[in-house]
Amino acid sequence: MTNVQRKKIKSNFHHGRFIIVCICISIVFVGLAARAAYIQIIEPDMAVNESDKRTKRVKKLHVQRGMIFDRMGKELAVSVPVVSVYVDPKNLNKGLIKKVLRAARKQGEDTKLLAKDKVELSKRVKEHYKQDIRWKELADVLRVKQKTIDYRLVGDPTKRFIYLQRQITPAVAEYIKRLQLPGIHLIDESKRYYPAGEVTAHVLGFTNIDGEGIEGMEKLYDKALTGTDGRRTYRKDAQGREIEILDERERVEPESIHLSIDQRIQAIAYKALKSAVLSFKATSGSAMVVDVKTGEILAMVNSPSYNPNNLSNALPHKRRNRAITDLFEPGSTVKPLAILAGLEYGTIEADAIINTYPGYMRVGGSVVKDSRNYGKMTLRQIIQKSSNMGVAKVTKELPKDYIVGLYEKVGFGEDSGTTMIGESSGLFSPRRRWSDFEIATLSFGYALAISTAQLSRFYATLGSGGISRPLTILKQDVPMIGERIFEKENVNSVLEMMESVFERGGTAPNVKLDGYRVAAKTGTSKKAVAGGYGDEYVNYFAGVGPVSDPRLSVVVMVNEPGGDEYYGATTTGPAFTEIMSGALRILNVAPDLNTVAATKVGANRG
Amino acid sequence: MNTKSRVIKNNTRQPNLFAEILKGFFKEKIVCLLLFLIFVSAVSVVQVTYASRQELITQDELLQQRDDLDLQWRYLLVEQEFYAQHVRIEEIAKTKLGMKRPQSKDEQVVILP
Repeated sequence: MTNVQRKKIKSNFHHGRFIIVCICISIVFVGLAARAAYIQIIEPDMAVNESDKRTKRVKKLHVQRGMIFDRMGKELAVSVPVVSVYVDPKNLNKGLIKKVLRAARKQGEDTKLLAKDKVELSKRVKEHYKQDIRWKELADVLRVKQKTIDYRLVGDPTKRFIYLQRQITPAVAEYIKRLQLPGIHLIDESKRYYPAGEVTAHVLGFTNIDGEGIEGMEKLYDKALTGTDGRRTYRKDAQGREIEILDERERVEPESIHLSIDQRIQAIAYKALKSAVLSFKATSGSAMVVDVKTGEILAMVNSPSYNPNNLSNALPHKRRNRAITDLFEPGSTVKPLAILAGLEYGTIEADAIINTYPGYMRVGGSVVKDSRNYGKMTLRQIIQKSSNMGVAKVTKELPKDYIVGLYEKVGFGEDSGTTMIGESSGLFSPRRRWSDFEIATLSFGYALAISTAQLSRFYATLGSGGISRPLTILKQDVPMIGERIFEKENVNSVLEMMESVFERGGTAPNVKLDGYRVAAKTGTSKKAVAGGYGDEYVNYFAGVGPVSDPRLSVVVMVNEPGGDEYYGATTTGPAFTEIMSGALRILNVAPDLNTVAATKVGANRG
Repeated sequence: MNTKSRVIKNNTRQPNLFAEILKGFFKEKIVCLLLFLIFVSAVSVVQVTYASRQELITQDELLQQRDDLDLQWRYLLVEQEFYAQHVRIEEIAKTKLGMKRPQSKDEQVVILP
C-alpha cells in the first residue's frame, strides 16, 4: 500500500497517457493538415469556385453600331445606347414570397406552416404586391398601364422572361435600377437614330429592333457596321471595384460608312420632289442628282417617304426605294440618245435637216406620228419640240444592231452600279429580234423600261462628255473608272440642242432656271397596262448643267399625276429647276448665264 | 537592490538575453543584410500590388467615364442634328429672319487668278 503510494508520488508520469495525448494532438494536427491538403490540393475546385463566386465578374463591353455619314461628314445614322427592361416572373414571385415570410416572422407567425399553405401565401403575396408603391412607380416611369404591367409581372409566375419595355433612355433605366425591384432586369441595347428622318430614309434603310440592318445601306453594309462586343473577366474587391483583370477580349469597333450623298442637296431634292408629288396629286416620285465628273450620287430621294425613327406608319409602298426599283418607259427623255446615235454613226451631221412631213409615217404596219406636222426640222428643233417623227427618221437610217447596242452601252440593260439592295436592271433585252416599229419606238423611249437611276446614269454620261461611269453611293477619293462611249464633240452638240427645250417653242418654255445654262429634256410617257397603254402618265425632267462645264445630272420623275396636268414640263419642271439651281449653288459652281460681272478673262458669259 | 541584482547577475553570469540575441544577430552580417532585403522586398511587393490595384481602379473608372461621355456625346449629336435640320433652318431663315435665296442678278462672281 505504502509502496504504491510512494510510487505515485515519485512519478505521476504515465507513459500510456502521454502517448494517448500525443496521438490525440497529432491526430488533430494531421487531420487539419489533411483537410487543408484536401481542400488545397486534391479538390481545390470547390474553394476556387466559392472564391470566384464572390470576386470574379465578367463584364460585357458593348460596342455601338457604326455611323453613316454623308460626304461632308454629317451624321445620317447614329446609334445611341438604350436599355431594355425585362421581368423574370418566377424570380419575382420568389422574391415576393421571401418578403411575405419575413414579414410573417416579425409578426411571430409560424413561417413553415405559412410556406406550406399555398392559398394563404399567394393571397398574402398579392396583398404585398399591391401595397408596394414601387410597382406603380415602375408602371409610371415606363408609361405602361398598371393593368398591363400587373399582368406581365405577376400574371404567370412560371415564366422566365417577359419584356416590359424596350429601348428606354439610360436615365429612366438608372431610376428603375434604384428602385431595386426583385426580378426586374435591365439589358443594354442600342437604338438607331436617323437625324435626317424621311429625307434619307430610302437610301439608308433601317435596322430591326435587334440592331441588324434589314433594308438599304444598313443591310448592304451590315457586316462592316456591326462590331464585336468585347468581354472582360476581372476580380473585384469588397467595394465592387476592379482590382485584377484576368482576361480581356478587346471590342472590335465597327467601320463607319461615308456615303456620296450630300445632305444639303438631298434635303433640297426631297423638299422639291415632295411638293411636286403633293401638288400634282401623283402616286409617287423619285429624283436623283449625280456628280457627272465622278459618278457619285449626291441625292436620291423618293416620295412618299416614311420616318425611319418610327416605323409604325411605314407601309411597304412607302418603304420602297423607287429610284432604283421602279421601272417605267422613259419616253422622250431618251431622244437625245437617238440623235446621238445618228451623229456617232455618221449618217447625219449636227446641222442636218430632217423632213418630218406629213407628221406621220407608217413603220412596219404601225404608225409613228407627231402631235402636229412640223415639216422640215433641224436636229435642234427635233429636240426642242420633242418630235417622234424626227428621231424615228434618224434611227431608221441606222443598223438595228447598232442602235440596240448603243442602248445597251449606256446602261439600260444593267444595274447602274450602286449595288444597292433591290436595284433593278431594267426591262431591256438586246438579244431578241427587233422589228422596225420597235426600233422606232425605242428612239422615243418606249419598248424598254428603266429605273430613275439608269436614266440618271445616261444623263451623267452626257454631262461628262461621253464617258459612262457606273454610279456609286459611297464617297470616292478618285472618280469612278468610266469608259468613253461617245465622242465629246457629238455630246456637246447634243447638249446645245437640249438647251433649246427652255426656249420659246420648246417643251418647257415656262421653266426658267436662274443663273445657269442647262441642257434638259422633258418626258411624258403613257403607262403601259395589260393590252396596251392606259390613261396614266409618267413625267420626267432630266438634264445636265451648267452646260459650259457640266457638273450635275438631275432627273426628276413623277408617276401618275392625278390632276389635270400630265405634261412632264408642268409637273416636274419646278422641282427640276429648284434642285438644279439649288444644288449648283451649294456646290459653289459659278453661274454661266448672264453673269453680272466676271472680273477675269475666261469667265463664262452666257 | 540594484547593485545587489547586478552582483547576482555578474556572479551567476546570467546573460542578457536580448543583448545576446542582437550580438549574435550582427555577427552574421550577410544574413542580416539578406534578412533586411527580404523584409524590404516583402513590403515593396505589398506596396506595388496595392499601387497597381489603385491604378487599375482608376483605369476602370476612366474607362467607365469614357463610355459615359460617349453616351452623352451620342445624345448630344442627335440633339444637334435635330436642331441643324435643313428644313428647320430654312424655315427659320425665311419666316423669322426674312432671308431669301439670292438671285443671279444679286450675285457677283469673282474668279480668282
